[in-house]
Amino acid sequence: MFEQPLKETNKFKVFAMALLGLAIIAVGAFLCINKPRDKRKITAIYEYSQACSVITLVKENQLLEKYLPDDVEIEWVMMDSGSDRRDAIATDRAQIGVVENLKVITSLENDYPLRILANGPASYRGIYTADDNINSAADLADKKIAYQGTGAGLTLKKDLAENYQINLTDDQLLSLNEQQLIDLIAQDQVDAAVMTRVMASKAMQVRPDLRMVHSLTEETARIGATYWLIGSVSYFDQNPDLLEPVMKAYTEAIETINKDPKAVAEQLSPLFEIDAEIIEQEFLDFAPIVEIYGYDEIAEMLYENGELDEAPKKFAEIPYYESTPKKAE
Amino acid sequence: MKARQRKQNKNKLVTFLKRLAPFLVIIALWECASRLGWVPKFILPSLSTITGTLFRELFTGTLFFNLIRSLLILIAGLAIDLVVSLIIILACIKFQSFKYFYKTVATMMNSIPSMALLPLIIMWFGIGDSAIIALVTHSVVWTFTIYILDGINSLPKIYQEFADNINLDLKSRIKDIYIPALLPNITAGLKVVWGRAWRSLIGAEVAFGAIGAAGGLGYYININRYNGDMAKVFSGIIIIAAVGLIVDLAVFSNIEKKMKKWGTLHE
Repeated sequence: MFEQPLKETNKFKVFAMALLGLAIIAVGAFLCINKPRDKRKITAIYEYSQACSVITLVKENQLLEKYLPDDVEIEWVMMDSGSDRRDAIATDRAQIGVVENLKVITSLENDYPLRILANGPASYRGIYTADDNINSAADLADKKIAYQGTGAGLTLKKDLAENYQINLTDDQLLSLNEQQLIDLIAQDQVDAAVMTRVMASKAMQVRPDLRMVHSLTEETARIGATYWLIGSVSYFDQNPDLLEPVMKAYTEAIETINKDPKAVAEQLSPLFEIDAEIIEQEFLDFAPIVEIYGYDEIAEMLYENGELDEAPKKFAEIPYYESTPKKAE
Repeated sequence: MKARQRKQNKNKLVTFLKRLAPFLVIIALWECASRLGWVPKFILPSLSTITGTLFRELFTGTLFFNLIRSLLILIAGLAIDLVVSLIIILACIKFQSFKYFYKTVATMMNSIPSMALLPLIIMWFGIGDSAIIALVTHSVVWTFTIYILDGINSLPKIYQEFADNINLDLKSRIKDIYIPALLPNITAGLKVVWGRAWRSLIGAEVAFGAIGAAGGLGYYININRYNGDMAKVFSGIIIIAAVGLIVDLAVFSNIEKKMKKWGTLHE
């Protein structure tokens, strides 16, 4: 059959058939991906961490299912990076998720379309070390300290500068993710680390002699470094009726935590792989609330610290300010 | 004569404009896409915004220091890698059995991406410059040595026989036979490993950053992505590409021109 070379016309036919075949496959794939949905869909992002404890409870207790109308399909996606969660929501690939509030503010200043929906839990932080020469925050003047997240770094800098007159230089500070931070403190590659109680508990499994030498709880609470529930602007503009059910689900999760933190801690403990007592203590230290507070102070602090190039907008100037739940000042 | 010269100049100008045209179209489309809101600014800032940010960051911001830091680490890493590669190549020339063993190991290791080794590197070298240099070494040494060893294998047998006949010692063989004959392999190898090293370095900096504000270009990109400042992210990416282009034009193109003059490289 193929002993003789294909004639020019045959070559053209084969080429045209191949092109047609590819076009059919492409159109089929496009239709499959973009097939009209009978149901609306909401994608929510969670992570097994203290920062995402409220939204994890929403998932575990099926609170979105309880409040959202039947025509809404619910999808849960796990993402352990705050930047990824923010980007997914800004581009409407996901519709709700929890992001560190400092990151939300810098993102809003850079025109990210994000809608602040509610407050979330903060995390208790302390400075931990295994170095015998460090016994208090006053011994940290020339030490190398690791931390995770802008909030932790700013809290540390402000606390040591204001209370101990120690001005940490950039060369002393290491910004790491959680696992790197635990690895490095365990290997003595940094002198100290700012950790949440949950992180410290994980680190102590590999380095039992770690001890807390200074608490940053008060400074964290004063600054207001917490996590906020954010939503997709375009999604809630197109589906305004879904905002209330989402808020009801989130509020019920917060109320459940505050009503019985011990029970919730026990529920979340196997998921987070952390002792229930530690999770409970975090809830007792920072009882989560729905209302947003401290926006202007944090924005100003970010500006002073060089994280923002221009003077930030005021809280009252951000989009959807009117509908954002606010704590009375 | 003058008319011919004028025609040649005109042709050159036309060719230049033809090459420039696609870039101008892309630039115009990019600017329109951002300014007219076809693409949100947080995804694609306008080129004019990026250019302004780039210059401001280079001259008054931290971009310049991050660039210098990345380049210094790269130079240190490449210097170490070339010494290590030289020792390995000498050992392979001297000991045939080691060469077979090494080539197997190098082929295996060469297929492992640097980022796959990141968890191990952090455990062994900690975090910071030493870990980044270790990752750069991984992306350079295996590839470069394989290039050179393959070059040695493909040398005409007569070179070897000639060296044997006149009893050349190892030093003279390397200086008078291997290096001149392997110059195209060395240049091609360096060109490949430079690109690999640069990519690994930036990748490592993005992955685990470094100490403080001057953590390298990768760290600069990462921290600005964290803050959602895409104009700065693009500035960092442009600098990375510009360094690649400058090194290629300033170093490798010149070497290749010289090699063409010597006749060791053909058009």
